[in-house]
Amino acid sequence: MTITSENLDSAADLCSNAADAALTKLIELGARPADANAAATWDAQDSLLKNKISTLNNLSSSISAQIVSNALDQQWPNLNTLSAVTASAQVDIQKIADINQAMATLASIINFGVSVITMATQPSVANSESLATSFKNMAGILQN
Amino acid sequence: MISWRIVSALSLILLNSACTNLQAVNTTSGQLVAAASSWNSVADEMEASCIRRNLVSDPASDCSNEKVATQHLEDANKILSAYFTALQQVSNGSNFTVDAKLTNLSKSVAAIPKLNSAQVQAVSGLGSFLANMATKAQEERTIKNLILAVPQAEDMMDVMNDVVVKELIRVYKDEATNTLATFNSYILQSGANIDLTKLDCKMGVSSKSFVNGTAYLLGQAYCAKNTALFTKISALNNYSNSLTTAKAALKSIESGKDDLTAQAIIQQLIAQATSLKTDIDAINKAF
Repeated sequence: MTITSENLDSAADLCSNAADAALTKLIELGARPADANAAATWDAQDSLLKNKISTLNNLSSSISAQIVSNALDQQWPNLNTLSAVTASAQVDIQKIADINQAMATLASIINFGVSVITMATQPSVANSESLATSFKNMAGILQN
Repeated sequence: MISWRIVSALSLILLNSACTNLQAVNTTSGQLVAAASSWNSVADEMEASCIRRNLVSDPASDCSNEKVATQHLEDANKILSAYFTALQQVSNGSNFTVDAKLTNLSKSVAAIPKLNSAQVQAVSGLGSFLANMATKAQEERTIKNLILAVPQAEDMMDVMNDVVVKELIRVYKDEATNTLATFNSYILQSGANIDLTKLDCKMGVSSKSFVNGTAYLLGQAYCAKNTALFTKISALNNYSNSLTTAKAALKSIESGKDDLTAQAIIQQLIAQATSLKTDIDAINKAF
């Protein structure tokens, strides 16, 4: 026999309903009698019913958890697709960061070129320092 | 000179059209990220309820199946959350803009000797045109690729709504039965003949209803546990609503994929984001 989620569902319902029936019996026991012999019988029944309720509920909840896990297992192909699409989107977003980097590189190269022209046409200490700075900036950006 | 002006004007037009306003998608996907985070606290309840039930159970459960179910649900939530985050990032204009770097480029171009202001504007305009063409195409492609996976996300949310809600209700019912059995047993042991199922915990526990102090205190403790559990069961409605709204929001995004800036889509998305926030707040309060 193949175990389906419907089978599991029925089994969990069965356990849960049986636990309810045991609870009704427990409440129907009424107050614990004062007589020692009657109290001993009461204690035994009380203990038996509580044990039954706990066991049945443990089983019912465990089956419920199994039903959830089974349903999620069937969703893994969908979840894998979602993961792949998400990863691809993250790569695309990173590409924009790469374009930003390219723009920064372009700006630094232009700055360096302008400094070289300025130094060639107007040589001075200030312009040589400016040339060194733009070279350092360009080298730093190209290294990244 | 004319060619410089043409390039400059063309780039300005394209720059403006590139500024697609996806604010509504961004707001809604932000709420979807928050919703996925709140769904984790619901996922935790499979195991948490088992641990609470063990406090009033004999024999106790090892909660192994419940732990696995919680873990699987958290893994699924993590994937959904990453998907929603990508949707949020891709609809965030600042992730698809190069404006800050273009300012640097304009400054650099302006420093080139013998270029007049019109030429500087045209060169930097051309730069922005090229950069924005690239980023705009990238943005549209990325968002359309993400939208292609909407049916998979919807399937996943259907499972959470149909299966998780139903099974958690049963798990809570089991916890409630065990709690009632234990407290009722203690009350009967104290000599009082009281059926706790007939106690109206919402109205508060009156000492007059109990024949002895032990029974009264037990009744109070039972009601505290019962009320806390009832709050969680009620919040499952908010969990279910948030899944339904999240699915509807994805459907809005999917149906509007050709023009996500259309007024009708924006209104739908904003309404869905507001509804999601209400349910998320209720979930976070209950769990």
